[in-house]
Amino acid sequence: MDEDVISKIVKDLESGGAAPASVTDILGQVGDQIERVRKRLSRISHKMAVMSGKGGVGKSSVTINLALAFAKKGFKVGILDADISGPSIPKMLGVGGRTINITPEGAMPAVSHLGIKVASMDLMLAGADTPVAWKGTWQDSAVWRGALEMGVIRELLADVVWGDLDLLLIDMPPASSDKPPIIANLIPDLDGAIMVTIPTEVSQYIVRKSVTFAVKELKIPIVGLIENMKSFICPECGHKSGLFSPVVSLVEPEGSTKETSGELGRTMGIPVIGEIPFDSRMSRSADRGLPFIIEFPDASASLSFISIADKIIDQFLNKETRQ
Amino acid sequence: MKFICMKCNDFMDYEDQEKVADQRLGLVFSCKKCSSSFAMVTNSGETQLVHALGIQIGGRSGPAQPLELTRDSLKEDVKSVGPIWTEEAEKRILNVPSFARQMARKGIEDYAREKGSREINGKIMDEYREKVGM
Repeated sequence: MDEDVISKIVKDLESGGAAPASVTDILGQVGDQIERVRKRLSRISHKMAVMSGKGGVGKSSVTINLALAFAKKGFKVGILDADISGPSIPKMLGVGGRTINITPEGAMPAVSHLGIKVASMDLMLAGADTPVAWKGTWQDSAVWRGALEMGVIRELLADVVWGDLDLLLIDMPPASSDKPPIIANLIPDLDGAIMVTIPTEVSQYIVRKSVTFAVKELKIPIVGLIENMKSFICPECGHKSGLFSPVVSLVEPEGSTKETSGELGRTMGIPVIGEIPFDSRMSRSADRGLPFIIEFPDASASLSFISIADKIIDQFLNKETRQ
Repeated sequence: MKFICMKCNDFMDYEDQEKVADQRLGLVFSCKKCSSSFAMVTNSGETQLVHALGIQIGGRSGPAQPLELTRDSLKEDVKSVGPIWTEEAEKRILNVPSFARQMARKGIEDYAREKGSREINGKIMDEYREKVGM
């Protein structure tokens, strides 16, 4: 082919001029996807992600009990379970046997205690023992799985009939840097991230990375830090003690035994908005689908969740936006 | 991706697509000047990756349906298997005369789907019985 012709064709392609329009219209389809998310979420006053970076710190437990604390204060709350491969929120909220119904208006979420709306991959599966498994020969490709999982989260945001909500909490998957940025980019006007940690050096080591990543890379404000399983209250005598060994501060000289939640918050410039004591009844409540804050409203941990909700309402949520 | 007819030095137009095998598409392009055409076959990986982004190759024929990507992609979703019968429910359905059992089973399953329940248990059966006045 003539070099002049090639040069003209390349020029045309770059200018978008003479080339025939794409029949697939990828940009148009992606634009429609973004618009559907924007439209659906426009009726939700506030959106907050619950993150930890580290698995096993009780993030989902904090999410549901905090959501119920807001609901107790009259807020209309929804939870998006963004942990696609390990969804646990429906089971913990007692709606594990429900499914998402498809209607002309969209997909109807499960409705749990105090009217909390829930959308989760778990509500799409055939049964309680069914794993999240995909059709296709590219099952083992991390790129393909990642793209698909993000597509699923986009659909859960855009297609679920959330209605008018005061607050949507997004229970993020335990990862520091791969999924959170994509999920954060999917959500317009994300108010901020609530970080959850436990009083161990390993957890806080990872949480520091998550905080740095959220603030510096994703430009997401940090609502505050919650230290879960901070202490243990003896059910027999009520004595309060540390559940974990005193943690050596990450910023103090070696040998210091200063508790690190305050230090972590101070050095990273984020507020510590609450400490949740460990209560062995909490896991039983989750197993039964009867959340702790509902079953034991006067327990110390429940009061902590209420106190955290109060702080977030005062500092982040405009009460006037309550529907 | 664009294709150029080397004889006419012009862009070729997308003409048609056909599913040639599982996860593989045949895409036909033709030159509007000389009418020559050719077909390319996508490999399954490319097709799946584009599908994973929620993009319909060849364009959409209608608006996107709720959760279409999720429902199309799951190996076993709640719709493909249907509600699960508990042991108690399986025992109770045996009380229905055999000639009517299949019809009753379908009615109860439809009711469970309508109620958004993936499990058929005694409670769902009671509700259905009340609904149909049995």
